[in-house]
Amino acid sequence: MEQQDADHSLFDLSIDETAKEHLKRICSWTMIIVATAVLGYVVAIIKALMPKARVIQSEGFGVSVSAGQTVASVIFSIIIGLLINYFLYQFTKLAKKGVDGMSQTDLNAGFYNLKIYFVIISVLVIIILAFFLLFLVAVSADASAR
Amino acid sequence: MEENQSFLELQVDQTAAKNLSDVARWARFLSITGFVCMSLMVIFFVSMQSRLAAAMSQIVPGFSDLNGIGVLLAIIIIAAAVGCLLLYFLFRGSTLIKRGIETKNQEVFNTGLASLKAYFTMYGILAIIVFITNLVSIF
Repeated sequence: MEQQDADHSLFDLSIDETAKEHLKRICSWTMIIVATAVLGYVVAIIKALMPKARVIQSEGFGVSVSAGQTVASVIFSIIIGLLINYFLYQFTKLAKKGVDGMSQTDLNAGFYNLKIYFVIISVLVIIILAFFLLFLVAVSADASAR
Repeated sequence: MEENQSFLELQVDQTAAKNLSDVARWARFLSITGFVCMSLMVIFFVSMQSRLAAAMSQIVPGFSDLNGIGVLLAIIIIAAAVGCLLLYFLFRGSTLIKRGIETKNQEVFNTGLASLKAYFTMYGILAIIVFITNLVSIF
């Protein structure tokens, strides 16, 4: 009886036709996101290999404007981006396989990869915000020292 | 027969529920952080208007004559509004998915998935726009 209740409580939520449709559309768009990201990395490499800076002359004063990134920073960004997009791709692949093939294991693995995707982005956001906060503290300390 | 059919359907079992709850928790954190950052960015640009105008007029001659700061501010506000809409879908999706799992409400769960779909749709469209802009900037 208890086992029956447990089974019932587990199966209250299902991936019905509406949920399947939403999941399929999510998978289509995440695949587009991954594809554009990978193509974007190729474009970023091309741009990084092109001339990096141009000088804009302004009323006799040369104002240098950096119009590109260094190759090293581009490669670093691409590595981070590939890591993030790998998990999004895994989610897309497994969730689609799970929904199409009615495989609970694949669907669960897909959701696990989506979780990792959001965890990595969140950790990166925390790191970036920490660096930004440190930068603000350093700037304000420098200003008060003057 | 119907009972047998339901056992053959995909379910939100314990593993899926745990993973989706974690997805919702982190997505909610991201959206709230995003809202705060967007607001701070707009406040920063509004409060630093005059300094920005001076800095920009050094780079772009006649920037202040062209009422450039107003245009720049409008672009920033539009970008922030688009970003906030994207984050709203993420926030709504995460909240409803979590609530749907907790209350075992199929309708709420599906609405959450629909919001997550809207988030990824908008994200995809923006990704395509950014990619095309980047591609055009090469030539």
